Amino acid sequence: MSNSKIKKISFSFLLVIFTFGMFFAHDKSNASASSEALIENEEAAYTVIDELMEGTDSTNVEIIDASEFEELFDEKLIVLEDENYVYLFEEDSQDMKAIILEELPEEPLLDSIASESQAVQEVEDLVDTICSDYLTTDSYDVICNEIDDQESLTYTVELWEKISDDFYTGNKIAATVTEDGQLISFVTRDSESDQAIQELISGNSSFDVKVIESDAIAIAYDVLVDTVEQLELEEQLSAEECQPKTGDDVIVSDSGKIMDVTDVIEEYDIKLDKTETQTVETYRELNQGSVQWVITVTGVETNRDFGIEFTVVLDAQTGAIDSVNYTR
Amino acid sequence: MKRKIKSIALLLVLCIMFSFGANSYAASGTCEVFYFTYTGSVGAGGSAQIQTKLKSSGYTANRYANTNAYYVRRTMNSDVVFAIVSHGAAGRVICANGTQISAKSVASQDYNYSLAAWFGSNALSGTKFVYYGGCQTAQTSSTYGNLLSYTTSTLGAKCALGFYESVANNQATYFETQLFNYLASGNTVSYSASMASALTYSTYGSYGNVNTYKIYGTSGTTIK
Repeated sequence: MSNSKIKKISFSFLLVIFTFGMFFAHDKSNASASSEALIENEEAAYTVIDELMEGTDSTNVEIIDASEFEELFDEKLIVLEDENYVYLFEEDSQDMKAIILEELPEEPLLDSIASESQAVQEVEDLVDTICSDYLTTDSYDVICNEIDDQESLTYTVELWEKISDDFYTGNKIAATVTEDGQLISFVTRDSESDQAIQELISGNSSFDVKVIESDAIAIAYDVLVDTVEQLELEEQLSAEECQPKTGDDVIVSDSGKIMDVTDVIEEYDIKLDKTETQTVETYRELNQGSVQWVITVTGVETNRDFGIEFTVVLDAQTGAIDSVNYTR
Repeated sequence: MKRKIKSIALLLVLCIMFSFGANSYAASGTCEVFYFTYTGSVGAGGSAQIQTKLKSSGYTANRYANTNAYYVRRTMNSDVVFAIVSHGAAGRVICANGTQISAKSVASQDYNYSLAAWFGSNALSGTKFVYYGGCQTAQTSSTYGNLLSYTTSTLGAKCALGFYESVANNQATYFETQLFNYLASGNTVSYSASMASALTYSTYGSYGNVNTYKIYGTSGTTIK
């Protein structure tokens, strides 16, 4: 082989090596850039937890695999864990997505709570610490529910971001806290309606509802008539579905009476037309860019000693039913 | 050479013994899941998924529909996990034909089948977890008692979960599906309930009151 040929081959070989080298360096550079961003976000997450833990003993928090949580919450997350909680951060915004309780800490994260207003204040302070930018409009409504089960007092505080009175963006925050200041849970909800929110705030009239409130209530009651009819029907099970558990026992109830398992108690009757006992509440809410009416009917009597509540969600532009729900 | 073959054979035997031993630590026992489709009832809810998750945990999991309270209650003491998806009220869950299971005995009621009338103290000591998937099943009734405390404190089940308020069916169905999904992965009842509750809110934009769940007994119980 001549010298010139050797030189040509060597040059070609070096050119190929150089090209591959540039490719991998560039790729590594991209990977390095995204890794840097991730590291930055992770450090930000640690900082938030440090602020959350301020005033308590330091905690051994570490990053864990986020894949399982990302699949369930359907977004990119950074997940950290200590001996008491799992902390889920949105990777892009670094806002806290959820705090999941594993074991109550010895030192509560919050101050003791003696009233609903105090519970609200504690939660609002918590939100300032861990996701202050989550709610983007200037106002929100606060819903606080207190449960006193004679053993403990628990408050669930929800912050509903709003556009105007009884019109919500669907972006929400919920936290459950105890009177001792223990944080039981924290979670945010994204209605995926950012563009619609901006357009509504700027006064875009394309979102003006075509179904007014009274019509929405009428549509809800219409669909509830069908719902109640279905609920009152005896659903016949096919042989392939689950069958009752039976036997040959002599059945004796608490009264001592020998019962026949085929005895049929009075059929279930939902008194939907007894509207004088019912309360109807409505509000509008964005969900995935669409405006919906949410209609709740409470105080519906039945012929049993417990009642039932219904919630109907329908599209405020078309009147189409999105969902019907009822209590157990 | 012979020594080498013997060593390999011994190693093989040890590996086989270890794998059998590992399998013997998988969950075993019977579970029951009840749901109701009779007039006015809740429907299947998450009962099918509950059964699937219990089976994947290694249990024999039987699922029944539309069962009279007597038979729903009958072999609870043989269940490692018991779950019922139905209407509920303070101190009771509703079963087929208007019958119900309560904590306390109510001698005046033909349709009441109480835990107290059927089981003696600690009868459920072999039961790891009882799920009462109905409205207000965590509440105390002066007539019917408290299902959760009776199931754990008196009957000795390790852990029980019910709801303090009336729960919406759509959210409750999702909650119980996720609850048992997490339990089947080896998580504790408290962690599984916390995850299920957060996922429900994130998915539906409302809790439907599933966040009012109460856990009695040992909240760190696992079912595997």
